[in-house]
Parts: sequence; C-alpha cells; structure tokens
Amino acid sequence: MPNVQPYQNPQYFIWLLFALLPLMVGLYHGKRWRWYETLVSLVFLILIFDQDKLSQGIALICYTIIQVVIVAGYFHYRTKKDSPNQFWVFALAVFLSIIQVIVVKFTPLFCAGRDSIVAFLGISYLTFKTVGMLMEIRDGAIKEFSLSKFLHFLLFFPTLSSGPIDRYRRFTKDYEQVPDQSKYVELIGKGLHNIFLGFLYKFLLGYLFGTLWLPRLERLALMQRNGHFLGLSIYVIGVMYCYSMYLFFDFAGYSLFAVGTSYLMGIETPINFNKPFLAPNIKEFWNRWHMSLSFWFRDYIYMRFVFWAMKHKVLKSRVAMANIGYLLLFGLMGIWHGETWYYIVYGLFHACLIIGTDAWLRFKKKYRQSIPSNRWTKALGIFLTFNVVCFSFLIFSGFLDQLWFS
Amino acid sequence: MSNFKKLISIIAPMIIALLLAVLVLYGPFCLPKSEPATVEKAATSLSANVLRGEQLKDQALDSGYLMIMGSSELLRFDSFHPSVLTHKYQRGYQPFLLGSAGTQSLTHFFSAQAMGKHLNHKRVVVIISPQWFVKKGVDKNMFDYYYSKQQATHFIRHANPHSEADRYAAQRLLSMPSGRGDEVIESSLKNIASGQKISANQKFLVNDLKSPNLSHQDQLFTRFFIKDRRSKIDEQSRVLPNKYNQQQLNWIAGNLGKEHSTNNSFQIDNRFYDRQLKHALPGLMNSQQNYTYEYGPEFSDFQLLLNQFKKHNVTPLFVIPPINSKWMVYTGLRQSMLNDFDKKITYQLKTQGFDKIVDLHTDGDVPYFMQDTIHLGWRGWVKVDQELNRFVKQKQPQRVHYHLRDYFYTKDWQQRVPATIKKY
Repeated sequence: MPNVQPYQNPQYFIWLLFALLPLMVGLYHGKRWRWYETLVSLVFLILIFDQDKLSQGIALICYTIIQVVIVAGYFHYRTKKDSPNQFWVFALAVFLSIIQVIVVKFTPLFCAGRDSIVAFLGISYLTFKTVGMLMEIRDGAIKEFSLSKFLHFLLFFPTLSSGPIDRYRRFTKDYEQVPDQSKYVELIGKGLHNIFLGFLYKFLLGYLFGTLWLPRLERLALMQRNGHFLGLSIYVIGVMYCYSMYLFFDFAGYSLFAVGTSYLMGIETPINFNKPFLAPNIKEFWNRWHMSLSFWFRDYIYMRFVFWAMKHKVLKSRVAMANIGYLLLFGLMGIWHGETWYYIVYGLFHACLIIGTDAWLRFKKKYRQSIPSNRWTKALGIFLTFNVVCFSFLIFSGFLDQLWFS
Repeated sequence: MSNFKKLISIIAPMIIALLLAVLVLYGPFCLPKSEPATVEKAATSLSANVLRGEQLKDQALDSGYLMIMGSSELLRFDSFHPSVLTHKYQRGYQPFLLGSAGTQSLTHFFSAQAMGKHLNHKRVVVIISPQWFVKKGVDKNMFDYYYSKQQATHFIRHANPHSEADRYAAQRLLSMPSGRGDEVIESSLKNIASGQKISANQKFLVNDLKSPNLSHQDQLFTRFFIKDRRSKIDEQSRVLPNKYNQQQLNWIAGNLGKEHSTNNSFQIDNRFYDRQLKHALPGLMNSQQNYTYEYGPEFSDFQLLLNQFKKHNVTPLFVIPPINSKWMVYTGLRQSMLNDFDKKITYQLKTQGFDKIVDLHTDGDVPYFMQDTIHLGWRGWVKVDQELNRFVKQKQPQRVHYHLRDYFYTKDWQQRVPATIKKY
C-alpha cells in the first residue's frame, strides 16, 4: 500500500471521494453504516502509518491502548457509587495520559534534535482530546463511556493530524444520530464549500506565499543582513508578512479540509478559523485564530487555574490572578510548540499583549466619555492587531534565530 | 425544492469544475503558443521559470534565436552585452539567454535535452565559467532551485538505459534532493541508473499523467512570470554610436570602464565594489591560494551537454572567460592552475571534435575586459560579440563529426591531473 499523508496533495481528495461516497449515500438515506465507517477510518489510518512510518503506527497503537486504560479506569473510578473523587487520582490520570506527549516534546531537546520513537503524527491533538475528557469526567459532565465511541472520537481520521480539537460529548451526539435528509444535504453543501475554499487557501495561496515567495525573501534577507542593525533589512519585513500569510492560508486551508470532510461524514466538527486578521484586538484574535486550541487552553488551563486560585485565595487581586493565568497559559503553549527560545518568546509576547489589552480595556471603561469609539478607532484597532500578530509570527517562524545565530 | 434537486444543484458545479480542471491539466491538447513579444521578453529575462519551462524555449529555437548558455555573467547588462549590441545593430541574430547565477552544466543539460528535436542543426553558444569546476561540483541547493520536473520527465521518457551518458545523468539527478522529491521520478531514475528499462507502470505514470500535466502547467503559467528587461536594454543601447564600428566600440568600452571603476584599484565596477567587496576585502587577501578548478564531477556533467549537442547535430561555440588578473594577484588565485583547467577542458572538447572555442583565459589583464572579479564586461563583451558575430556568419557544415568517448564520465577523468594530458 502506498503511504498517503492527509490532505497533502489534490489526489488525496480523489481517494477520499471514492471512500466516502458509499457512506454519503447511506447518510442521505438515513443510515449510518458504522462497520463501513470503521473500515474507511482504518484504511486511511493505515495509509498514513504504513511503509517507513510503521514505527509511528506502532507508537499510535500502544498510545491508544494506554489511553483507553487510563480513561476507562478513571471513568470507572469516578462513576462508582460514592466515589471518593480524590484530587491525586485525577492528577495521576492526567499525568499518565500526557506523559508520552511530554517525552515526545522534550526528546529533541535532550537528544540533539532527534525525534522520539514514541512519537507519531497528531500525538498532541489526541492528547488534548483525552485530557479534556478526563477533566469532564471529573466534573461529572461525562456520564457514559463506550469503548467504540471513544475509539472513534480519538482516532477520527479527518482531524487526526492537527485538529480541530473536538469535545467528546459534542462528537458523540453527532455520532449517535443521523442528520435528517435536508440537514444532511445542507451539510454536504457546506462541506464541499469548505473543501473547495481549502483548495484556494492551501494549494494556491499557501503555495504562492510559502513555496514561491517565502524562500526568495528569506534568501534576500539573509544576504542583506550584514550592514543593517540586527540584520533587519527591509526584506525581514517581507519575510514577516509573507510567512504570516503562509501560516494562515496553509493552516486554515488544512482546517477547512478537516471540517469539510467531517461534514460529509455527518459530523459537525467545530471550525478553527474565523477571519482572524479582522480581529479588533488581541483577545478577539485568539477567539478567531486556531479556535479549538485556544478554547481548549482557555477552558482547561486558564479557567481552571483562575477558579482554583480564587477558591484558595492565592492572591487578593483578581487582575493579578488573571495575568498570572495568561502567562501560564501562553508560556505553556509556547513550550508545547517546542523548547526553543522563539516559541517561548512568542508565547510570552502574546501573554504580555493580552495583559496590556486587558489593562487598556479597563482604562477605556473608566474613561468612557473621553475616549472616542467609532469606525476609525475600530479600523485602527484591526490594523494594530494585524501588525502585532504578524510580528509575533515572525518570532514564531524561527527566522530570527537563523538571521542572528547561524 | 426537493432534497435531491438541492443536492444536484450543490454537486453539479463541483463536478463541472473538476472535469474542467482535469481537462485543462491532463487533456490531450496543446495550449496556444505565446506571442512573439513574450518570447522577446523571455530572451533577456533570465527568469528561472523560463529555464525550467519548455514551450517558450522551443518557440524561440523555431523562430531562429541564438541560444546562449551561461551563468551569472549573463546578468551583467552593460552597454556591450550581446543582447544590447544585437538590439542596437541589426546583426541578423538575436540571443536567447539561458542561465543565471548558479546554473552549471547539469542544469543546462536537462534544459537542452528537453528541447529535443527543436535543437536539430542549431548553433548554440556556451560560456564555460571556470568557477563551475570546483571539486564538489554543482551546489545541490542551486541545482534544486533551477530543477524542473518537466525536464526530468522528458529525460525519463527518452533515456536509454544502455547508454553510459543516460545512466550517468540519472545517477547524478538521484544524488540531488530534487531528483528524489517525487516517488515515481525517483524509482524511474533508479531503473535507468541501474541499466534497466522503466516498468510499464512507471511509463504510464510518467508519459500519460505527469508529462501532460507538467507541460500544460508550463504552457499556462510560464508566460506570466517573466522579468521584463527590454526597457533597461534599450536604455543601455542609447550610449552606443548609431553606426557599428568595432574599433570605436572597443574604445568607448574602455572609456566607460574607466569611468565606472574609480573607487578601487582592481578596475572593478564601482557599484559592485561598494556592495559586494568593500566590506569583505581584508578577509579575502590570499584567500584563494588553494582554489582549484581542475577536478570534480562537473567535467562529466559537462560531457552530458556535449552528448546532447552530438545527438542533435548542434554546432556549439564555447567561450572560456578569464578572471580579473589584479584580483587574482590579491586573492592568490594561481594563473598556472587556471591554465591547467583550460588545458583539461580544451582537451575534452577538441579530442571529441568540438573545435570552435573562444579561449580568453589569459585575457584577465586586458584593462576593462572584466566588469568585476569573474564577470565579463565592457571590452570583454565587445570581444565576445565580435566572436559571436563571426560564428553566426560562418557557413555551418551539413553534418558534424563528433566522436564522443564514455571515458569522460569516469572518476578517472574527473580526477585526472592536467600535467598528464598531452596538449591537443
């Protein structure tokens, strides 16, 4: 069998079309053929993890077994009569479920850039899903657990490699039912629209910015670095905008594919991007950029930290608590991207931006009468946010590392 | 509207779009040729996509352009550049420049073999830079930059696994990251390199799927991404006298050279000196004492190009440019090494019947011959133009007699010490 990475080239969609067509006919007639759905998922997983990716496939299988044991075990513990609901049991479950991803994330740091043998494509996204489940099991929000649903949720192939990160309860609700016919026709329409928009984003615009222009600008910037303060020639600005556009169109295109494919399968995976470059401030930006990830971090890291800190009265000032929460949240996200200075600086930079924005919003509220608010100030906000975000992506790209230290 | 009708109204446009895309990319037809003005623009563009493409070059060959293959020196558009002189004086020919910084024999080989029969009985000029012949051969990144999948598929379709040349070419392409970038191309090349025919499956994928797709992409897009230098060339030609006069041109070239190289003692163009050399100057003193252009795979890569010329009865003119002598003294580059390189490459050419050579390798001390350290300019271009003109006017033999030797693909030849070579 050939090796096929998800959404890598237009031919992939021909494979996808052939595989999904029977499923779609079934859904259109009100039937969800689970055995066929399972078969398709299995084939596409094998296509991703066969040949030279076999060791990744084995890592995925082991990972899945371990996660099943942890989640099922914790569910059993938490739902038995008079469950003691000890914090340490919960903490242990979370720790066990993230340990593999921690090993994977830190291996390159300690083993001179080599990838870990327990790594596989999409490991972080799968871990996000199980950790979210553990938290909701602790909250008592997840009241039933089925092995087959869990496996379908965890290994849902359209979103396997980079999300969007769905939630167990939302997923199973879609999965258990078949959309009625007119609803499903609507889903097909939206799904195909997403996929075709994805073509425009990833294969045209992403290619233009990422493959045609970016390498050229980077070369020019590196050639001109001598004789400029910190090597910052005009081309570095070019790299900054070009990389930002590439990052957006490539990833948003990928997400559109994942969402579109899910729709065709009758699953309404949440969208991941909502015109992020039109955000009027940085907080709003994170509500529009890679939304499933930022909501995950907001719900499971930030909110939980703030509640915990409030309950234990760690600090008097709510503002200070929120700010520490931001630093924790974005610092963690930086480290999750990789243990290099530019990912961590990128994270902390965003934390500072949000803290600053919060302060400004409080100030604005206090002096509401004397600060104008109209479409011009809104446009200014969008302009500033866009440029600040692009600058943060320049940090994120690692190009400055190349410019200064190589 | 019923659900079924709704469904059809959603799917129908997508199916039509899909069919159209398949038709445009794979359909059995040729897209219309480019306008002659586009070919004219491409002739001096030096754009990488022109080099990678096919249609524009084929059109240029068919309409009588003179192909000039070279590298970075072609970018030096002063008033005496061949493209400027032929623009000013109607010389009966017009150059089509192929190459840019970093193009070497291997790139030119793949580009030339894709021209196929369009090359038959044509004249071609090749400017051989000594700097190509560094020990490691062509820089992999540079080769990849100019690599064309279309040319690779053309090569695979026409390669003969029993020919030493084609096996060598396949193996060279496999040693580059770009040659291994596509599974089908890689596996086909492996077959050819090991002396086997490509399989029926590979043949189908390359001939019927990749090849039409790539050539349609070329026909659709190459014409839109071409740098236009025509106004610059026109501007450069304005300082030239209206009537062509060799001595006068040579004299003006010397004067212009003098005018434009006032801020350094190497007779290097002021702007080049300011931008590229001034800062690095102290570090460059005696930095090239151990440079050698006498060994390496480039000699065999170059042989591939010669083989291509024989296949299509091409009459080539080879130009071997010098290096700025004042610069050589400063950096410690040895003239004796350059002489040895010249001896080796001349031997390779002449023993196989390629005897039209403009050998300028000792002219590095002619004032204002070079525009900078290694690039022809001013009087150098005037000299090259004279030779080109003479070459084009010469009567072309009906059949050319080259006798190529596979020996030049061997490590033995690549590493051969020039002192052991008889002067030919």
